[in-house]
Amino acid sequence: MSGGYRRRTTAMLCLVLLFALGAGCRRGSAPRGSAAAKPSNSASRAASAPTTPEEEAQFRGEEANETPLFLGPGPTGTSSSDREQRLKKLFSGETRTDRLPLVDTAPNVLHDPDLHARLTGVVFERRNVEVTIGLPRRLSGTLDEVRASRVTAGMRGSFGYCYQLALRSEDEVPTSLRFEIELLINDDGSVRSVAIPGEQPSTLTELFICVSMRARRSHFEPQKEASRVRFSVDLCSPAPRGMGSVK
Amino acid sequence: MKARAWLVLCAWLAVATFSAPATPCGAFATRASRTVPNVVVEQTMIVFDPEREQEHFVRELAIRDPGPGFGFVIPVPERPVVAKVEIGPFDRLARTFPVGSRFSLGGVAKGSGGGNSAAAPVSVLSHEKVGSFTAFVLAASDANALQKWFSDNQLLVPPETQAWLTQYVKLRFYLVALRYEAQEIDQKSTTWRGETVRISFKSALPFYPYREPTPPTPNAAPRELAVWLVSQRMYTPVSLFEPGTTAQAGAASQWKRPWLEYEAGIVDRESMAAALSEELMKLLPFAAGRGRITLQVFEDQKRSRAGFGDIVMVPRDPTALTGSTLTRSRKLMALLDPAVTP
Repeated sequence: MSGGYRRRTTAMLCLVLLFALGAGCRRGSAPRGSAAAKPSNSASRAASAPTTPEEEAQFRGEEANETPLFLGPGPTGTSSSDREQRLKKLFSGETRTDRLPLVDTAPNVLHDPDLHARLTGVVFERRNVEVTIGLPRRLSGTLDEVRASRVTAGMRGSFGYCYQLALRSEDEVPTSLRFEIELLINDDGSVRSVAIPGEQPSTLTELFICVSMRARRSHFEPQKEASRVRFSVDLCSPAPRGMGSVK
Repeated sequence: MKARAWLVLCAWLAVATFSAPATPCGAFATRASRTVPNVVVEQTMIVFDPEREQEHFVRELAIRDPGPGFGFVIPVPERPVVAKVEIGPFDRLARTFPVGSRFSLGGVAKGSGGGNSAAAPVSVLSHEKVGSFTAFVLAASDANALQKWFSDNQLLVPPETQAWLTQYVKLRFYLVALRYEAQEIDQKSTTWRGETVRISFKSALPFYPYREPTPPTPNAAPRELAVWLVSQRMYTPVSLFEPGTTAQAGAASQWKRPWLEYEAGIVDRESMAAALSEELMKLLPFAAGRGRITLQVFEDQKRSRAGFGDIVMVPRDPTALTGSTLTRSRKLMALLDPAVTP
């Protein structure tokens, strides 16, 4: 066998290999929004090419459970029995709907956890409230107080919302109120527990539950060890000023 | 595509007329609508009884720039009953089961008949006063006749709403038209908060009228939808997204989850009783007995619903589907696959 022949054969084999790899890559990148992403019950097709989202995920080396499920009624030309089957699976709970793509905000906009409180507060409330949050004091641990204050300052809107709700529902809620909150913060920055020290009048129970719930969901920067911080909250409700404006 | 935050879970009908003081004979003085209002906050509680296939859709909303007059049209799959809710549940619901934060639910278990066509092109099945609204329940088999009916009843259907209405006529949905009848709106207010209204109807699965007409003018103002779903099973809200004229035009239609789920779990009756009035507690499945109650809290912060269809909440866990349930699901199926004939 001549050297030239061997080189030509090797080149041909390389080309064939490259083509095969390329085809594999195309199959692997096909699922997003394409018909190929739709699940199939066909065992033979599943054996020859990745056709279900789970197989696609496996093909890409991803966890199937974390892969969004791109499903729809099917492209034009899908048989009516296939379409019916998809709907039946969907309506009977057989489709993993928790993996369907979530679209709950405008494109490229992050979810705002305070939007509900803010908008309902502005639209539905006739009473304005003022919220002042004191600087957090570290009681234990390694949490940086200045950095932590950025997080606690962000609780103003939520606490104000809680106060507004309380003002509307309880006649005995005072028009000004001061209390302290103590947070136990895990080393990953999540809040493990919330405590409101001191005596709490029963008329303020719902307010404090609301405040605790909202404080509980805040997230601080990760730190070396768990920390405990305390800060003051001042709530004040000036005289009603009429319906708020949302523009 | 940026779309104006039109109206609600339903279409927003700008009413070209305003019900100024009604004359004894019931005629309405008319004047042109100043603006087409849009929604700021929409809060809904859905109580769904899977055994009886009964949905109670309880909604309160606030709109911007209410203008001199307006109305809504809410499509539902079966003939509805409309009623005013005396004590709105949303303040207490938001306090007990907040939106925007995860809360603790005891025993959390995550993951765990066809309408008759009206003989007449438009039939007014009921007509009653519901708070400051006049509510009409309509069945229509002819979209043109429906438009004429709206026009005859001081409801102007904007051009972009006509196609929207036609779809529901084709699917043989019932329509709840709510016409605001208050004597005057505080012109100084830039927002208006409506009374809480309940619409009850039969449905094989929980349904949310989410689709809106494509508005002529984009509006990027903030908008908020909060939904509390009370039932006996967990559901996933699913909507068919058809890119159409949106930025993703050309892409295939897909099923999407249009709402973020904040929490899902089992609640005891006492917790629900703390959040709901007696009137609403009576609507809960197994109101008189024990039975578990599931609660899911969702939020939607989209400013535009362009491309999104109505929402069907499908079971999260495998559930037996009988032939009769399938038959009763046809209208809902048609919402998720336009090729399906109801």
